[in-house]
Amino acid sequence: MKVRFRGQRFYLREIGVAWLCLAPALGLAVVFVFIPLVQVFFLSFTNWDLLRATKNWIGIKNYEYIFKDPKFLQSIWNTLYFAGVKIPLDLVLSLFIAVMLDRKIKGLRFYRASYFAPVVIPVVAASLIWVWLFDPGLGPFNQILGLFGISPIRWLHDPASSMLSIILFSLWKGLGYDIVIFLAGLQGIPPTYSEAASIDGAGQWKIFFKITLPLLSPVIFFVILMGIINSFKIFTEISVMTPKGGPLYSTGVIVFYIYQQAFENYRIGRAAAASVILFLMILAITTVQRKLGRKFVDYE
Amino acid sequence: MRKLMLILMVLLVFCTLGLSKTKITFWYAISGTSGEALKTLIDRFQTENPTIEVEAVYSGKYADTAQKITAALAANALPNGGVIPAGPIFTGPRGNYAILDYMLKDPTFDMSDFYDGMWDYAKYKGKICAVPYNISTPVLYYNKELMEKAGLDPTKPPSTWEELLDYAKKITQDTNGDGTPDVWGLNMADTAWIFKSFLLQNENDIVKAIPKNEDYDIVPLFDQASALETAEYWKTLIDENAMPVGLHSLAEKQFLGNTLGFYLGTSSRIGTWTGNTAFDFGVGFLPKGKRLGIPIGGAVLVLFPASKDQMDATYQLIKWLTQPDKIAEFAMKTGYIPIRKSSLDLPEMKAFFETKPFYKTAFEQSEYAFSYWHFDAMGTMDSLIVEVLEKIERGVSTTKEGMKWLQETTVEEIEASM
Repeated sequence: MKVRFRGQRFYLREIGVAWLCLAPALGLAVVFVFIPLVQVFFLSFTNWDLLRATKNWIGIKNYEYIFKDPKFLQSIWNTLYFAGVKIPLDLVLSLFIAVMLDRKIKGLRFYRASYFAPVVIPVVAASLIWVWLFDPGLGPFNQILGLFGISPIRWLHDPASSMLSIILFSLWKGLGYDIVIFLAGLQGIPPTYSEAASIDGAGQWKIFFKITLPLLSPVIFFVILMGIINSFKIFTEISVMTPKGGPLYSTGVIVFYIYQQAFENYRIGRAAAASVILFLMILAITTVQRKLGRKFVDYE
Repeated sequence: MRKLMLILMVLLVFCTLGLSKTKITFWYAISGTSGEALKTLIDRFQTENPTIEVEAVYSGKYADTAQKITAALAANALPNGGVIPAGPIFTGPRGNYAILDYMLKDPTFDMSDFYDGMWDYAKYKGKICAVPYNISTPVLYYNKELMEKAGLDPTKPPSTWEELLDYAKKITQDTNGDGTPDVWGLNMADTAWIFKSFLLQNENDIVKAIPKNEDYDIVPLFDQASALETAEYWKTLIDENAMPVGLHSLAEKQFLGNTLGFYLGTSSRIGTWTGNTAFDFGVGFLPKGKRLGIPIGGAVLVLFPASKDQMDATYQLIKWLTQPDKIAEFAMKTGYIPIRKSSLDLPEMKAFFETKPFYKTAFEQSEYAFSYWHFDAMGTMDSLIVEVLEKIERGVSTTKEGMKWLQETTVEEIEASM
């Protein structure tokens, strides 16, 4: 027996097999993604506190609360600040290093390995090491600054420098990953283009900006997209390095706020409402980005 | 063939007998020396009670354990019992007062031997729903070397607020001349706890319970003049450079690194620190304000609903762990304070005090121990205290604005959690 699906005709058995093959992945997605997703929307309208079994419908009170809570608004700002500072820095640095590593120099393997090493270290372990590096009293960073006569910085303990400290850490931690992606992108560009350009008299810079960069645009787009998604999800290093959200909540990001409401204050409703807002924000940003992407990215 | 059947039957019966051991899971939130001490006790309980099999699981630090328990509550996957921080929050609100029934029905369980302040720590809405266990009080740790360097008598630690401020100021030093002090007079890791101690010492209780329609309203007391005074004292400690701004998470590290004169914190560090520091230190009572007042902290023993066999077995374990000699043993090994009066009278405890006077200090504080009933928003209240102290320290709010905000926000949070 044949059935029509999307304008094509299939055997019913074929469709059955397709569903069967899809089932494991689909099952996991339904149980761990779709059901919780629906539940979060529901919970954001209740006052569930985890301690009791009862959930009462309280309308939009949770949303009212979080939008009046200065900490939530601050957490949105902190997240945007993190993304806004980290992503451009990461992009420029990793692209620069990738271009440097994309040539025949001595010790190439060593450099590549050492840039990639931080990526494979577990975040918690790395964060704990950096807490010590940042220590305002005995920490190596301040001791090195001291050698140059710079007075000690309080790093994670000063609202002015705490988020920058976290950004510094994240840059170090994530750089290697983006470098590898850029390297792959760079090596995927056939040398014929640049050869042709240099025969026509184009200089190194011109080749880079007029040929390499446009051809690399899908990769750049990918790195930015992942950067934004990951920035909005940042939590572990914040929670390990500044367990209370940093001085004056200067490192309290959205996910951290959600965590605090849910597991420190037992306010699942508020946490769910904040999660819904986070979801909408990521949705909006990705939509805009996809639109922009179609305009500016060359997919050959 | 029949014979074979018979043998099989007998074997089967034996097997079931062997299997009829009651198995219970027991979570605990203490690690290191204290965790070891508890584990040793539980092992001994098992040899003495061969019909009970205890699966004792370390459930992570206080915050992690609280998180696991809340998840387990929601998922109906609770252990049978445990040493759980904020235990009454996880039993009382669900109407689980089973442990109280067990104790009341058991003529051999002497509830009056426990300090009253300890029982308050095990109550929800005025009713006992846990048993106090690893209870600690904040004490003063003083670095004798730094006191001497500052020209102070290392045998006389500060005993009043004025002395604390005065001595701490003298200890604070900028030894490498980079413009910021690297040796500090005073610091503490748990600002909420110490601030609550200061409040109590200034004759300002933390919360009061007002009876209302067979229930209670919990009302915070941060709007009193004495609370504002306490906040001002805190601010003075900062302004006069006795205490660093916002470096509280480093306090323990500073003390162990020989760069902190006075550390105010849990007595449970005595066991870990004694003999492990490069300098000589002493332990004393918290310096007193108008009176001595010490809020207790720690975790309690709880009993979660399960089958009758399992609950009986868990109660048996809880009762065994809180016998005076077991309590004494645990206290001597860890620095947690004995929760029963009779533990202090045991000969082994008296002999112990001769050799380890630090413990005596901590244990004698039990008499001034103070606590309030558990309530849903108590964790939130502590976070709010931490937040307001930080704002006051950094000059973002004045003491007056800060305390007003603290009072109002705590009231709101308590109402929202009803």
